Amino acid sequence: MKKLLEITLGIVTSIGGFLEVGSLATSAQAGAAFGFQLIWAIVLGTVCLIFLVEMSGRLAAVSKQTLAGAMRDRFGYPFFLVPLVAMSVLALLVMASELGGLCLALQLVTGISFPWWAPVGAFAAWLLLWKGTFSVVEKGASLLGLVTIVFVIAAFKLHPDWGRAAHAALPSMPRHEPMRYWFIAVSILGASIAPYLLYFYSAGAVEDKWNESDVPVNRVSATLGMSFGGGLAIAVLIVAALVFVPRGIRIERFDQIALMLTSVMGRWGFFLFAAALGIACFGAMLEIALSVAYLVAQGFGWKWSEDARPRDAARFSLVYTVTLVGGALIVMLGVDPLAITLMSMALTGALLPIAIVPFLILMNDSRYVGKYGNGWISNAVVCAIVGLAFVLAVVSIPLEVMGS
Amino acid sequence: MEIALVRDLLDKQLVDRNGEPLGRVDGIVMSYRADAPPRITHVELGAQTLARRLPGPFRRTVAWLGRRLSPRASEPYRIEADRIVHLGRVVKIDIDGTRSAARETERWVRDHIIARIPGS
Repeated sequence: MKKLLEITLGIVTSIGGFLEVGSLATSAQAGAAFGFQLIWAIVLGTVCLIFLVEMSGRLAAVSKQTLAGAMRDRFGYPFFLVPLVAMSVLALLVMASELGGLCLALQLVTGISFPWWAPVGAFAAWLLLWKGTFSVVEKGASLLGLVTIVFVIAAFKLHPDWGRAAHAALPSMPRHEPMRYWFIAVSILGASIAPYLLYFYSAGAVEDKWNESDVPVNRVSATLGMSFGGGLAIAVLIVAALVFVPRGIRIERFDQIALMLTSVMGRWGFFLFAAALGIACFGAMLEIALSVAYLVAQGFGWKWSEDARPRDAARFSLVYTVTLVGGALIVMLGVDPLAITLMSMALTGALLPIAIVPFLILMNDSRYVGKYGNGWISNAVVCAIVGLAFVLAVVSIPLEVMGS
Repeated sequence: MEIALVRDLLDKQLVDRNGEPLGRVDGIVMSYRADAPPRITHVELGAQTLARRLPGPFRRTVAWLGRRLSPRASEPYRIEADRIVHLGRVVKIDIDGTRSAARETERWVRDHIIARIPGS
């Protein structure tokens, strides 16, 4: 019974963790520009994420080490700085886009314009981290995140052609605008395979004192949870395709995405969209701020714990505070939230190998995972998808930057 | 017990006798005399040690930054190797970390920044 509860919780957790502004924006863009055609990118990204999340839980359960700690331990300090710097910069950009999403949600509801919400949103997130415990953050964000199921309901209400949607789960070549197509594809991959989630998940597993007996539960909850998250992203894409394509709307600003549910659910759709966007972004902000703090504190061997009082883990608390402030400053500078979201997701694709290759080496090192090492299937699948994301990113990012 | 210095000691998590984290093994100090085998005397922690492990230009920048940020921590902190009581997933040291210089930066951040924010 307790195991069942844990699995359910794992699934719920992943909903909060998976559908955030990156998945939402990239899926909506994909649907509006290319109909169902890019569903395959969500499927590939989700499959890769399932494998990676399962691995980070297994690493924590068997080695009792977090992903960040094990990386410093195994590869040494100079090498560890490379993923540390890359992932911190990336996290700051993603933080800015999540905060941008939250600000937009608040603007939709109140009519007060958007950069002014940045300090408010960042402060609210900081307060929750300052006062709350890990389980409050994890479970609270996830339970509230259930509101994102509204996209699945909307998808069903639109009666899509499920046969065509299933067909699009297999990759196909673009019929028009090839550069745009590949750029959105890599943004979707980057949004799905969020590396910060891995640091968050493994720290949570160590803080909850997992051991070998948790390996099977971890496998089930990673699979079900991440599939559910992927399903939400597919629902967003389907709704966007059926709402925007017939009207010939191209998404160039964030607030256009907000109209997605209005044609399906009317005025309620508008508010549900704002709620889903705001809550999903808020949850992701908490996870990103903590992930950076975990990465830095574990890498340098400082005391880290979201359950401790801030003064008992001073440098750890300082890092998440600085991360939130940094994200707020970027938003207040007035960068275009949709542009920074798409770019940071594509950049994630380009930087994935830096985070994932050392991780795979760890997962094949018996000194860390004993007899629970990776099988060849998980190694091959992750290498193939991360390799694809990297190649697509390196080719399409320069072209996208030059084009705009 | 046979250990590989880089694999089993360098970069490992250090904990004090209460199991509280002290930092990581940032450097290893050895001494040798002409007529005896080399011996590990200390493990080192701190920004200056970390700076020395970087390639040239980064090394100077980080060392400078470290001196500017915490003048008192400009010397690396050393712990006698004799104090090591356990070598495994973590390296356990038989000292009380609460007042140890290894925690100087943590204490500084706590007293000067974190403790001044309400609710800490």
